[in-house]
Amino acid sequence: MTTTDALVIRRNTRTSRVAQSVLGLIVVVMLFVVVGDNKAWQGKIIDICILIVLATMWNLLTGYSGLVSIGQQAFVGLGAYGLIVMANGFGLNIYVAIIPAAIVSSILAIPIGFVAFRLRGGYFAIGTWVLAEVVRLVIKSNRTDVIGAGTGTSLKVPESLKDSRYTTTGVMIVVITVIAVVSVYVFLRSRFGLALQAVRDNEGGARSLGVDAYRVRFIVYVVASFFTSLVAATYYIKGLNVQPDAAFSISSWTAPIIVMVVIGGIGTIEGPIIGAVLYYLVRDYVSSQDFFSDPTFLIVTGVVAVVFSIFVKGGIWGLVTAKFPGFTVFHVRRHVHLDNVNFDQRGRGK
Amino acid sequence: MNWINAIVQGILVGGLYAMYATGLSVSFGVMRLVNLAHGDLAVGAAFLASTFCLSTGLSPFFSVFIILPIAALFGIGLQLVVFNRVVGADPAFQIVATFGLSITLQNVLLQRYAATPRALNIGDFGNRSLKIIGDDVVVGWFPLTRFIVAIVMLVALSLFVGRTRLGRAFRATSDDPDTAKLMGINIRSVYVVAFAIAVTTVAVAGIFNGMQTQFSAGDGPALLIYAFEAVIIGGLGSLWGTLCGGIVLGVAQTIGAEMDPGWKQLVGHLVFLVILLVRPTGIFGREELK
Repeated sequence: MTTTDALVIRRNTRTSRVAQSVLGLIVVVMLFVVVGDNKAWQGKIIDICILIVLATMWNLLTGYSGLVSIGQQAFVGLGAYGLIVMANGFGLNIYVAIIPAAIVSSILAIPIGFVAFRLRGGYFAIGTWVLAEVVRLVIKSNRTDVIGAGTGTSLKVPESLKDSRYTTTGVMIVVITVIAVVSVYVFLRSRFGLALQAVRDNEGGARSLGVDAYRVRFIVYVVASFFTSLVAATYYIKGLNVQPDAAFSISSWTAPIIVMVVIGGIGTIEGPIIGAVLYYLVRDYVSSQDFFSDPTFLIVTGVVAVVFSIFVKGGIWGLVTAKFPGFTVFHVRRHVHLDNVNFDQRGRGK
Repeated sequence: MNWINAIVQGILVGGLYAMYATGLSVSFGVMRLVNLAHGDLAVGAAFLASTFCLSTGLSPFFSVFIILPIAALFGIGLQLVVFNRVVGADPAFQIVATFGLSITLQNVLLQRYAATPRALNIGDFGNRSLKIIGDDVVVGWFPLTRFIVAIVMLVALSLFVGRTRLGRAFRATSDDPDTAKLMGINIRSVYVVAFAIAVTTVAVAGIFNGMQTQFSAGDGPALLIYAFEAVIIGGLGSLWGTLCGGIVLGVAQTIGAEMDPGWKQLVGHLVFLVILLVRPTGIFGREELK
């Protein structure tokens, strides 16, 4: 898009490169931890990683596409049951099984999305939830041995893989997390990502410039379901027991994810990661305290969600960037540099 | 299997679903706000009614006189503190705020009343019934009363919206809040009244539900889904459509339960999805879904 030599479009800043390197180092440390033999720490990293990926995907839908889904538990459950069907049913290697599980789940996302996309806004939200309920009820009424109806079933782990299960799952989930976050980053910087954000900010305007709003959103919906199922399937290699009410639970999956993203900062790549880590740490601390019973934690969680969505719309990351303008880790915006004059394209603020 | 009976019972249950759906329909119609805590408000009202009955020993029917003013006040407070701040905001934040409210209410109820289900005892009245066709079609007095209350509620509400000055302000605000403001309507107070009506109607529904079935703190989401399905099946923006939607949902569920006891919810959801695919604006829907 350079018209003259003086006009340059830059996207990464020096600070964002430094921050990315720091993040890279953290990933390397996480990999060292999961290849070690401390089962407790491996478990912690697996738990954090699934939250990061789920939050990142929910944010891709809500923060970047304006699609507020409260039915993402459908794809968590489908990933879990996909793993069971592929591994227990078809006898695939448990680690390989996650790929076809995620593919089948994202294929199912097409008819599910087709129905959900008939609704808008808040009704889209409840619609996705009803669809997740339908999937749960269909699986619950399946009385075959592989699915096991309401009582669920367990992943059969071959004797030879038992010792290395946490390590392998840990490495896989860290890699999936990196791939998921980097894909979203690359995706948002692409032409397609620009179209996506244009649709979110002004659907009519984007359409008049030739963006197929429906198609763009639909593709994002399917991609988000793919990663949601992929990470869920991987997570259940650690979890082992799959039960429909738990795997398709809105309160154990989608509700905390929404809270994480809102606390971290909706519509940024950094926000969901911060929110997921923070939520995990608080949750981990709280569960070790007697005085903080489960309902109390959830009451606080709910109130925090209400307060942030009214008063702190940008979340924690929004507060950080307000304090340090121009600081980003994942630089999605474009900056035009003209003879050392810097125009921030989105400096108008939203 | 007795299909006619299933259909009759389904119609009567539909009245209850319409009661649930009315408030959702009103708050969406006037504020364009989908309240995800709608079902939890119903459960909250039922718990309050149960506390009232246990402490006074009076019939749950009397509890209505105490609970409804409380519900209206609670609705006004909620609107002033939370909802007025999110009306017109990015839908994402509206949904997150009401979802957060739903989580909060559910867990407040869970902490206050524990996980044991409760019921509102209406004594002998719950067992009396009316034989319509021999022993095949039997209509309970209670479901019939509940259905009539639902109709009365809808008639009153449509008279209010259609015939009164405030009702006109409702319609104006719904059509175009900015112009309504220019015409001297205080839309914030319209929102407050609308939400007070929404909470009151859903409280009635919650109490009537509790008189027949057990309820517990986590029931809100399921009730929200039924209300939502009734609204969409009937068509947005039509009160009588909502009644019709409730009846379609009720009949679908009782027929599903007649086929297999585990299919009640599933068949209800599937009928909803089919209608959404075939006729996205609902049976009586005039406006496009926005």
